[in-house]
Amino acid sequence: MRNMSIIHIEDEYEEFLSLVMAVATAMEDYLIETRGTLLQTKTRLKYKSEDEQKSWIVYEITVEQLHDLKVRYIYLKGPTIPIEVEQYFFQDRVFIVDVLRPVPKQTQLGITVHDSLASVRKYTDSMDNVVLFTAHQGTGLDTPDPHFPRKISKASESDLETFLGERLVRCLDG
Amino acid sequence: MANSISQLSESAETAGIRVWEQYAAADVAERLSRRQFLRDPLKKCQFRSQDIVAVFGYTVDDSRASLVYFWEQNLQSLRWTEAGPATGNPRSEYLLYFGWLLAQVHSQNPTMKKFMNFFEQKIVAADPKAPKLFKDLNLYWCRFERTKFACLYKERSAPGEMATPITSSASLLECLAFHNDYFHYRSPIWQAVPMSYLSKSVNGETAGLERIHLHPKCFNPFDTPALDQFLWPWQRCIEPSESPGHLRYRPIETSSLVFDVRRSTIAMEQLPSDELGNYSPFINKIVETAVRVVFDHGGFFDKETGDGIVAHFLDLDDALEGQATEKSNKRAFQAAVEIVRQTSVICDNFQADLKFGISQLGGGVGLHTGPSVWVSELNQIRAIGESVVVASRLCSEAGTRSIFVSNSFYRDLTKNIRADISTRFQRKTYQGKEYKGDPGLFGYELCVEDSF
Repeated sequence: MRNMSIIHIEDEYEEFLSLVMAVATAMEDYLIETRGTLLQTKTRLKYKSEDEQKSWIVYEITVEQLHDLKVRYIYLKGPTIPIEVEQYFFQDRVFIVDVLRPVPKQTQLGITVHDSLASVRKYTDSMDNVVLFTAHQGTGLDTPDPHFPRKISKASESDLETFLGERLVRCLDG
Repeated sequence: MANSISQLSESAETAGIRVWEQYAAADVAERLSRRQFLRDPLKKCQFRSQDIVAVFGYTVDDSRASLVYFWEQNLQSLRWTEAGPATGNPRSEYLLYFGWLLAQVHSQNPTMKKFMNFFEQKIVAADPKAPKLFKDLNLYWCRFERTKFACLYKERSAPGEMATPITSSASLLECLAFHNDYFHYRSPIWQAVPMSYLSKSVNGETAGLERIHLHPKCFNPFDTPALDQFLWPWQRCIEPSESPGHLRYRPIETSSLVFDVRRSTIAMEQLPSDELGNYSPFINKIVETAVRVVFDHGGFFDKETGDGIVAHFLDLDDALEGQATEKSNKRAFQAAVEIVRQTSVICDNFQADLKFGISQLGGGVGLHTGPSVWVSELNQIRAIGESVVVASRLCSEAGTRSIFVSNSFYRDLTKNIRADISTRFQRKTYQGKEYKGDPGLFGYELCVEDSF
């Protein structure tokens, strides 16, 4: 069993807080399936930024009977990862990135995918650990390219849950 | 994600074999995700960031409200445990009781503060910590055509002004309208299940409320079924087959009721051409009356058949544990009598619209108990099997304003009804459409009169 961090970069992350509960519930379901007994998770708001914008927040999911197991769900508003957040990363980590942002009141991009991926790249050695979770509707992000992460549409949040489930199972079995 | 009724997935409560087999065939990660949507298809619905804690739906008859719909924000983690259904959130177990208490004062559309004025003592008695759990929550109500909904939501504070709550009634209204639409148009429960009857029968008992609102949502046909779990009939008809990951149907004992109106086509032909428009309201009234009577007697509605209906009855002892319940065949019989009586009045009144009177205008009912398989598919519940086939044959050969029951139905029924009613039945032969010549089949017929 290995600890895992999920780093979710999204300027309106408040709309996706329910994913923490989805991960905790998936953990409980998997533990029931593999151990035959309910091991209840506890989810706590563990750390948060002190600024008014609440630029990052860390939830920690634990299981009382499995003292060493921790899953952290970290939300970040900005495209770059603040240095003080790095300390909450575990070795196993996945990144969910939505930072295609237009310049305010204009149609051209203020922040591109490449800008966003550049900030993530130093924390992971494989794009398999990264998902572009975006409302972008063009096909420009679908290009098969090993240096480019998988794209999941915001219209298919269940696909994102399935991706997180795969990683969760890998850590719980590891 | 945009809230969309059409994009919602099937729930564990209503999913058929096809959905469950797809679930079993998925890999483990996809199953973990799908399982949560099966428990709560509405889990991704958001209403402009409103924090909706629970939604309650009621039918209102004669100002009395029955809790017929329940949703809460932790349903996605609802699972069957050794202690019964649980979400792991202590608040969830009070919410059903809260919803039932709310029904008692629904006519005042109370706010949370007003509700607590009425019921704080009862809430404290249920759990001393409960008032704290309901702190900062408020209520919003909306009446729709056939149901009334309330949501329990968390008051949000304006940034920097902690004491000033922001309440967007538009988003709360959207939430209630969405749940109402889901219940009426995506959940066959509203169309098929006598929820009002069940809700009235459990009468606020927490265990009973949990049985009808939570137990079926914990269903998973691949789990070992818990002996104490209450399931809808179509869930009871699904069982694992010998082949891993596959399921099969099994029949359950069902009392079927088939009703139709005799000579309704002749009645239509006798309407003056400028009054043909009166025929449709006449038929609608007949069908609505029959469906209402079925629900009033705890029956499940299957389908309309033009000028009639098909419905089914089951023993409900497991749903209404500890409550005195009538046997299914007795309730089916009582419903049949009531349908014939009430539709006879409608038919008699309709005679005034006809050119010539039709003495045999009225309903007939066939009743039979036997094995049938219940199926939930495409937002409809239906039963297929012996009980329906035989009830249908009996109905087609029943006299006008009569109830024609099979031999075995009659024998079982006489144990549950008064002797003076049993003796009114007359033995009668019937053909049965698959037989040529005289097959010698017989049942028992009762001409419905007002005197019993």
